[in-house]
Amino acid sequence: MKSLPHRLADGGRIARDTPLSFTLEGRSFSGFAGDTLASALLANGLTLIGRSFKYHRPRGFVAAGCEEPNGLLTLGEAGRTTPNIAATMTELHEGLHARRQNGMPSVDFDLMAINSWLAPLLGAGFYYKTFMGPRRGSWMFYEPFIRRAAGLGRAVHERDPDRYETRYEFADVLVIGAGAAGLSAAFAAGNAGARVLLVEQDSLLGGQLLSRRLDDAGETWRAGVEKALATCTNIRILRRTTAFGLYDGNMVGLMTRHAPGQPQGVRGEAREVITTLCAKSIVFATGAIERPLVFGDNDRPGVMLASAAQTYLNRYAVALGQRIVVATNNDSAWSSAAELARSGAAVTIVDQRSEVSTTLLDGARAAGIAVELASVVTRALGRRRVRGARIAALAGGRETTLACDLLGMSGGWSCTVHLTSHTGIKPTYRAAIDSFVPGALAGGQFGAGAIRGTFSLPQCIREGSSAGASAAQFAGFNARAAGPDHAMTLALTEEPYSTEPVRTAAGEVRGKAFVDFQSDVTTRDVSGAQQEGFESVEHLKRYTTLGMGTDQGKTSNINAIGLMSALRGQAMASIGTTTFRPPFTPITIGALAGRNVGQHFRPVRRSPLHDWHASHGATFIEAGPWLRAWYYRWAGDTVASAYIKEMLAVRNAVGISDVSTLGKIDVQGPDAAEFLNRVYVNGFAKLPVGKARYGVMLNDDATVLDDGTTARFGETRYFLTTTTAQAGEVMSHLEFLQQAAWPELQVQFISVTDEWAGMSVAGPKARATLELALPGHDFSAAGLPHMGCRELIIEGAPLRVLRLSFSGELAYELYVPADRGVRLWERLLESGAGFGIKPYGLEALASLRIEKGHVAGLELDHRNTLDDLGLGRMAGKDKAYVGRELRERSELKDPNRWSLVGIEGLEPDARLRGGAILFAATDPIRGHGRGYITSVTWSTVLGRFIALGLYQGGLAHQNEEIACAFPLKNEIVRARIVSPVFVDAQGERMHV
Amino acid sequence: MFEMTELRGWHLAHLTAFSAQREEFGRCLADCFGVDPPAPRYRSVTQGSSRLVRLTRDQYWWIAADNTNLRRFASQLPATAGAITHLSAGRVRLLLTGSDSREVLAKGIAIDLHPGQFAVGQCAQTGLHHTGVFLERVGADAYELFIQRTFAASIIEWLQDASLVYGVSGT
Repeated sequence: MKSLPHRLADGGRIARDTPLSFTLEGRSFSGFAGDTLASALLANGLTLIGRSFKYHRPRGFVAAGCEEPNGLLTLGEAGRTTPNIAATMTELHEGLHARRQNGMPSVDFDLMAINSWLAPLLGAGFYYKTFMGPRRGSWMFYEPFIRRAAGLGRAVHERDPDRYETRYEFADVLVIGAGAAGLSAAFAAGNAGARVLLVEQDSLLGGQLLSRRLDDAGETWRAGVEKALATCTNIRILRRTTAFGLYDGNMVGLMTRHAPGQPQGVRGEAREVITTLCAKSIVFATGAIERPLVFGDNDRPGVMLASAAQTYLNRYAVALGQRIVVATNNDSAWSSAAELARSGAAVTIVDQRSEVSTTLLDGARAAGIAVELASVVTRALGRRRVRGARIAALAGGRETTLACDLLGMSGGWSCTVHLTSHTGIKPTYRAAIDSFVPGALAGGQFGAGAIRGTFSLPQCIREGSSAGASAAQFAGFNARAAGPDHAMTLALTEEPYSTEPVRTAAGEVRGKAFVDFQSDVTTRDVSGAQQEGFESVEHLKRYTTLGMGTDQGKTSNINAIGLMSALRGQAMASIGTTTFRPPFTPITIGALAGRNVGQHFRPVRRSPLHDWHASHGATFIEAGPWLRAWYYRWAGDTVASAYIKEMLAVRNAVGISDVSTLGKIDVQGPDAAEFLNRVYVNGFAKLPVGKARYGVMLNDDATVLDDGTTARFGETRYFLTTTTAQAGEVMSHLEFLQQAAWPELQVQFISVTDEWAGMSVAGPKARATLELALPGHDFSAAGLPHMGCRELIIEGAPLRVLRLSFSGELAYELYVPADRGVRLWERLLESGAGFGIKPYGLEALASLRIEKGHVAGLELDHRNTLDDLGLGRMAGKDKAYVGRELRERSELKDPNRWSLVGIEGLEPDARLRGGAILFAATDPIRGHGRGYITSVTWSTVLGRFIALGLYQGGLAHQNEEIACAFPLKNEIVRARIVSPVFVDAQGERMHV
Repeated sequence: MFEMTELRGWHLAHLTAFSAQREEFGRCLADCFGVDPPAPRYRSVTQGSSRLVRLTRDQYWWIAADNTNLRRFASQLPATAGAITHLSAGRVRLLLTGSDSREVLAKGIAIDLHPGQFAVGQCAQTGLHHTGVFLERVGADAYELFIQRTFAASIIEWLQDASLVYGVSGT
């Protein structure tokens, strides 16, 4: 393998014995295991990583971690394509395919770079001001063009073949971040006996320690603790896991990425896993993120965070420059500079401070570093690659130019307070470190290390130990010892840190000085926002889009607040931060969906007779969660032809239909009668044993909740049925009333929907069928009259027979324990064969009830009252029931309310359609009309289309002609208002 | 390791005591079941091949291979003291075993199943894949899951999918 231009011959945490090849836009590159995509590209000498969002300026990597604003690539191919992934967080693996984004036609040659020249026109607020006219709605015209010109990567339409997972986990102590403080905290909490979960977004443990040389004392400590943690069975470590959100009750969202290259290797393994974690206590050891400096053309490739340059050098053995300028306002950049100098580069430190400690100066001198104090970098030179830096003394005087091929910058460190702020706790500003730190944390939450503004390694370790012990104690453990091996810790020397707020040289900024690289927001945009009155940070954010990119402003927010603070002449503390919201780093939609895709999107509810239907030619239809038999092949190949034949079987002979989906509730207790009497609008107190009754229950507001039949099988025992659609709601309603309204009533409700298979046998030959199927039982009109019920014992199991009719024919509902359903069904089919019995599906079932004028789910939509549905006369006059009081509201008594009517088509060939809007014959066809069609069917009895609907004034308009408009198909059909009972209004057919 | 088996041949009844006659119910239950019902909620006691789970102050599940005692209870219990609802046909009972069974359940159930938190004999009424399920830990690496019959096919498919990575086997 040939050596790479920037790769050092030795050092780093890469496995030189495991070379990997990958492609960028089809071009082959190589790297090593342990590389990130970013480090491998940099090692290969590739510095132009993308084009900026708006101006299409050439951009390179700024960071080495999750804060990277520029280095977003599209990874994978076909369905596995994922856009906008930070290359700095992508572990290199064999065969990785990457593409750069936002270049037209390519990032290397981008015609859209013309935007950079149009920049004076494209400042913040440009879109809002320019593309609103000339007419209302013009934005809709411009938007697609703007989105195409500006933007990130694109998602693909192909199905993602990978698996994703969601899961739950629990811990006594959750430690977020495995830097020095986090490692130490996990050790201390684990040592106290707590169940500890340590999560780290990186593939390795150590945080900033990983950017130190392998011969550093910090590395000895890190390796020692990692080894010690591995032996603790009560400490679980999740690498490649980002804690992306903190929620109430110490609940944390975690996203774990699979180790690179393996997901397709093991059957069933997920590419990404989201864990919902509940912890008794949490230690936040999330560290800090270095801030860029804001100067002219600070976005040139080769201008990067000083700590990132150190990371690339020490962790990945990538030396990015030979002549390096490091601009800073704080101490930490001096150690980065020293590391860079050790690689043999000529390094100059430009520090804005006029005085720094002698330790720093001595160290720099020893490392051969040139030092410019009281100076700042005003502009980066070069275009596709930094070539030099303009340096100005803060005291004034001529600027000088320093040639360089790497410009490191460090504007101090911003504590990573995102998570601790997610629940609404505002971070507070601490001037000494020029950063926001977590505000008062909730109970059971602790912070340790850099998140608290602690930057010295030994101190971070001590804080970690202390926080870990406190967290364990909070979780109920006796925290005995402190952190890991003291001897190891004592070998470390303190690392003082000091900084001062960023200062700039006098005079105009030349070039563009970027505050937010990802959203292309410059200092001019910030001052423009302030001038236009968008002074609040929240307004500044929306006006300029600062911090709204996928990086959520990790490198830009504090600098923007600093600028606004200066513009407003107010302290940083009083400016405050914008609101931090999950996720901390982007998470994929796939991971959020987890297994809930395809057949696992939601569970399907199947009747106990489902398999019989499936093997006997049923076509199924989804009805809520249920899969119901819609129609059967015996009657036809399409629903339109089949349901009519099925209806005819019921009207002329006998049919059998699966009604197992009805809600069924076992109601028992000495007060069951009283309870039902209060729940239903009609009387149930005196329902005799052996009888069933149709009942309607109302919501509190007097709209109809549901209807159904309840049968009394014993003094204290009822079998209540609900509609399929409202089963759950009715159960909740009853439980609520029992627990909250009438707890003194001795009654219980148990859902038995799953327990009983139900089937309806309907038609003139229904009785004959039952008599053959269940010999020895009296099904005569006298033995089991209409609305009678009986519990039989058949083959040792109960069989409940209710004589009631949904279709208007002589009909029985039969219920048996679910595991006996198929047996009874087949027995009935066998017995009815001579009478021509046929199974009929949901379409015929629903059509038969329309002919009979029975209301169902489509009419019971929680908006209609009893009177609207023509059921007002059912209500008991001398009894109380739920909804009675509000039923008397004058608005609900208005005779012009939309109420139930039958509708008969007047044009023989024209079909009525569900949802059609109803107008009086003379009305203009416009607006919401006077009502609408709820249910529609072809009537086998009348030989025409009929419908149920709601119409203003209802049956007062009987026999009037109306127009049924269906604008979606541009149809208007003439019809007439009629009684909703289309067949057998006297009920003679079912009372035989 | 993970194995899923459907258990067959059992009876399940939901028992409810009416508060006015709670003591009468309790006496009758203890007499017929053989031992006192558990005091804490969502704990089970076992007597022979029967298990009694306390759900709430006044509600229990009686799970039995042989329903002789349950029938005796039904015949002795006054209708004013309590109610019995049979649920045997409405539930599918699964036995999940193996060292990975906890992790499989963690993919769908938001309950801490750490042995220190959810010991053998502890039960929960909880949710799995949008449906209500009843879970009991019956061994160090063994759980029983009662799922609704009408959702059973979907839940079983879900569990099989969630356990693919552990090389699921079962009947």
